[in-house]
Amino acid sequence: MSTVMKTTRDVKGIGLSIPRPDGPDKVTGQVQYVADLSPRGLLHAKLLRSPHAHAKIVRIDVSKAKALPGVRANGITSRMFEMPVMNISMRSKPRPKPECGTVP
Amino acid sequence: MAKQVLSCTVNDEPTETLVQPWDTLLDALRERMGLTGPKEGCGTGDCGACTVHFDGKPIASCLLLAMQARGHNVRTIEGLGKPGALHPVQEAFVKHGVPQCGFCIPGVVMAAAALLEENPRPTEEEIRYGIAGNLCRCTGYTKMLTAITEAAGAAAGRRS
Repeated sequence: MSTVMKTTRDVKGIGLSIPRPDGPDKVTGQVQYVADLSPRGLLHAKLLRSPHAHAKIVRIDVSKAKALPGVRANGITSRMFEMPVMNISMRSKPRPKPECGTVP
Repeated sequence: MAKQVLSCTVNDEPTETLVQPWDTLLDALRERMGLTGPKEGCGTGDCGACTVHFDGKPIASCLLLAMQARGHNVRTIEGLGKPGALHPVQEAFVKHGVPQCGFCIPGVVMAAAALLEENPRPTEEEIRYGIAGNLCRCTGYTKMLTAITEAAGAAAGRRS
């Protein structure tokens, strides 16, 4: 910023209205947010939610999904079910971690 | 189900685009035409981030099926102004530092531009009503009012 304000020493910017450098890009919709990006080879994930409110995951059969054209479900592994499960229900007492199964 | 051909005018250009029958106008603009200025904030018409002009009126493009735009005139933020050739509302937004994170801004600018098109000298209450359908989670509403008020003066000045 080239504007300099004189006080006891040279102070750059203080007391001045400095426009944001990204202002014009933001008011014209040119700024790219994460959802606006589409890099080459971008894969889309589909979330499979349990049809049961509270149940133990015994087995997930992904063979039909994998058989569909274009599906690259290689990322589905048993490790996904070993991750700690966060208890987001608003209870005062801690609850035991829900039991998890693994993909065969 | 087969894709359908959507013929409409987008940002003054007659276009033909293949869309799914269940695509919203927002899907068609963002995913099929690459116009990512309109944002999907909520997808349920509450936040206004997807606001575009539909035959000059501000609408939530996430609530309209793409095929309902057949034969109509759609304008997105990309068709309002460019850096270097800003719309008076955009000029005032930059000057007053309205954008913070900036996600709501395309929607707010479109709502404000449509308001001034219909009502060049709105009262403060009319401006508040005009952008009532747009949520800003940075809560930058005060600066929006200042900027739109100033843009109204500038727009009126340009006309006379």
